[in-house]
Amino acid sequence: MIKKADLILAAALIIAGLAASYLLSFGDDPGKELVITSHGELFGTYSLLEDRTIRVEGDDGHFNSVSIRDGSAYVEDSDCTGQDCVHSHEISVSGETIVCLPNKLVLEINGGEKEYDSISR
Amino acid sequence: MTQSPDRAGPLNSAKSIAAAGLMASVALIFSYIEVLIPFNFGVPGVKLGIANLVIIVALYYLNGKYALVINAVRIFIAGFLFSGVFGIIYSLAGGMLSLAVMVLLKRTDLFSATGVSIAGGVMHNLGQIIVASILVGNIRVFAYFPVLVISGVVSGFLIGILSFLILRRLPRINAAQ
Repeated sequence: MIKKADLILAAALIIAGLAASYLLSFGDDPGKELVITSHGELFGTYSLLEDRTIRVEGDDGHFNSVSIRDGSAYVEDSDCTGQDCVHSHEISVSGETIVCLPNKLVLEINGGEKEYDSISR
Repeated sequence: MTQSPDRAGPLNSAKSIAAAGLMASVALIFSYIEVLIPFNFGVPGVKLGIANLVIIVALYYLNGKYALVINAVRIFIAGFLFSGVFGIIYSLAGGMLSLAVMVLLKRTDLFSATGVSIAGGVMHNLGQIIVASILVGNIRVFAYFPVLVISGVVSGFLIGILSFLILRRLPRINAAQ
């Protein structure tokens, strides 16, 4: 009913599938804009094409300083306790995020085009 | 598989042709069942593909040519009845790529019907996602591919086991001649 070769084949297919999608993910086109959400509300949307520094200050007085350089965004400075956001890797690909929990800040890269639509069935 | 009817005897016999016609209608009914009761596992694109059961059985019971014709008949009729032109394009890409790979793998004699069916399930999904990325114009739909590979392996496995059980019970066409 089932041979050893069948199992090897199934494993090989799964590995090939994972490898293919991993390799293809390098070909992602870079995201087009940075979306900043502060305290659950949209703070602003910024193009990744122009370098700038944005100071995000919440109502509670805490701030994060967000920089855009060479198509990537990162948190340059923050007065939060953990500093996790400052140490986070810079983001540039659509879907990537940096979160600063103490200051309730979310940075997300948004691609210019939608990833999926409803054609597939 | 001991002796496949590929080399065993006259495949143009009336019995083979009748069996092919019967299988084409069963495949069409299976497509219809899948439209009526979508075996939805919560992820778009993941489905059981029970029509493939008929194609596997046709591949082993008759041969690759019959399986091709049965598959084409099923895809076009089911497409025009249920899903439209885009459905036909998707099904053709999936069905034909899957069948081609299954014919080749069967020819190697390394795998059982289950293994052939697993590869067929994965290739069916691969064909569809290739068409999807062309139609959407974005190769990034491939990010979704691992899910479809695993679903193809699982459904191919189930279909393979079923086809084994069915093939064991079918009387040999050529035995009667």
